[in-house]
Amino acid sequence: MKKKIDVTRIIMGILAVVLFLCLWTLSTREGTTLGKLMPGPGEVFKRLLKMTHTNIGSLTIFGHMLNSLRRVLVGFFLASVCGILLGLGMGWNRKCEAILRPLFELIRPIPPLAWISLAIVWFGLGEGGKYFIIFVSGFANVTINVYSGAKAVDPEVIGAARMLGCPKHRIFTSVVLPSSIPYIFTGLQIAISSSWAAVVAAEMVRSTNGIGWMITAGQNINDMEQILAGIIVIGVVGFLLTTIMRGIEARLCAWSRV
Amino acid sequence: MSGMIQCEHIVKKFPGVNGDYEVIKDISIEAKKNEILVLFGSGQCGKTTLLKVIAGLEPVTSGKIFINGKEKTAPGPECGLVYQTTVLFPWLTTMGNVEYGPKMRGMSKKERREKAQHYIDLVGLRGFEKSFPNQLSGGMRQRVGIARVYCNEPDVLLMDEPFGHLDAQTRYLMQEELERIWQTEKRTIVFVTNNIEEALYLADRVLVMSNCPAVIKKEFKVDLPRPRDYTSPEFLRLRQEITSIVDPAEL
Repeated sequence: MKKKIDVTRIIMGILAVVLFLCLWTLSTREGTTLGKLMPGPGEVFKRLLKMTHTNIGSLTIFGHMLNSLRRVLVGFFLASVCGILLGLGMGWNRKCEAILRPLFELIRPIPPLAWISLAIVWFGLGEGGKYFIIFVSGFANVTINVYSGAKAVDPEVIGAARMLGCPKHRIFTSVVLPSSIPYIFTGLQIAISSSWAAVVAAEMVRSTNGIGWMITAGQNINDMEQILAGIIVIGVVGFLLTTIMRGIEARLCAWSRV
Repeated sequence: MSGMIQCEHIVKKFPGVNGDYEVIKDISIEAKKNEILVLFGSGQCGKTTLLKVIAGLEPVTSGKIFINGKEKTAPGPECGLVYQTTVLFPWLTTMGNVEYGPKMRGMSKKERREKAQHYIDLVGLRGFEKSFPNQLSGGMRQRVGIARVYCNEPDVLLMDEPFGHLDAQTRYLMQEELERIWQTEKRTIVFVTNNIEEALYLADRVLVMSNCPAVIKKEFKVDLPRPRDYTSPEFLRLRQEITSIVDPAEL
């Protein structure tokens, strides 16, 4: 399946961003109230460029970004593995569902930030606590989606597989797993964005590097340019992460698009 | 045991609010090898339930089913079912769907590919091997369904109103196609339909079933030469005769 590239759509998207930048420039020009509080996009981008070759704290902006990304990938990976296993288990095995579902439903509504104090007590102020916060923010999303995917398997399809000679013990790998893949990806998609959001929070608590630290550090020395530069990097990296996930999903789940 | 399918005194009840609900009442059927047996009846008269029971997907309340001499208790590859709504594996391509059965039996990749290709060609889907079910039309999906059961070499093919969801034109075409496929490679087929023309076009024997609980009202032997002509006098006479015994209240 070849996807047509819709030029008008892309142009409209770019125009919207340009318009936003214009508004930002206009509202922060000299003499306005907002202008006294924050810099315009020009200054922020100049600062961003400078950050690529001079250190903020101990690292350049790329160093901070890579540190944040590493934390996200570790936490996200752990959350995905645990979430997929738990979700498939609960969706496919009734006993597993009966035992784990109530526990899971109790843990699910707790927001990742509520875990911060516990994370510090359990894992200290180092990397462990941050991985834990990111794990928590992605785990429930993956689990609940995979769970509903494994639940949604059409019993007729299982019947069809059995009639074609699929032995009972292979139904799981042969039917349940492949038909859950779109749901797994929905879960991973949500989890990657919430993990990326959580890393910033985790780093703001206590850290010596990372984008979240950069923003907090900027706040401490009242450096608006640094704060805004951090925010822009968060936005752009988050956008790239979801785009990559969508690309992978489009490749693997071509069959489920109607 | 002479027949390919031997159903003896099948009774099927479903638990209901006011006691058990009897769907099939003492049905005995026999089908010979390579025969097309059509179960004809109107509405929800338990035809699908009967097929599911024969397929082993539903347990019988009482009675016995033998496929090729072996008693049937669970779903397995000796029966192949073509569904009313195509129950294909949406994540597999045409090739993947057709080769699924042989793959489950551990046939080597080369061998099962060749075999699947043979049946894909037989149902006229050459060129669509790599398409996913959602990229195919309704008629094409039913062709994949037919190729899939043929490729698994069951003793018996069960077809549950396979063309019921197709438009009239495609339906005629698919009836002719099924006839052609069956003439090329004969199998024992039990075909369920509520369409009298379809029944007479395909059947060696038509069993007319009555409404819930399902019983067999009458059996008709159809020995018109194949392929049949929908407008020949004998065809129309049989059609008239069968229609007359179906209770209008059931339609």
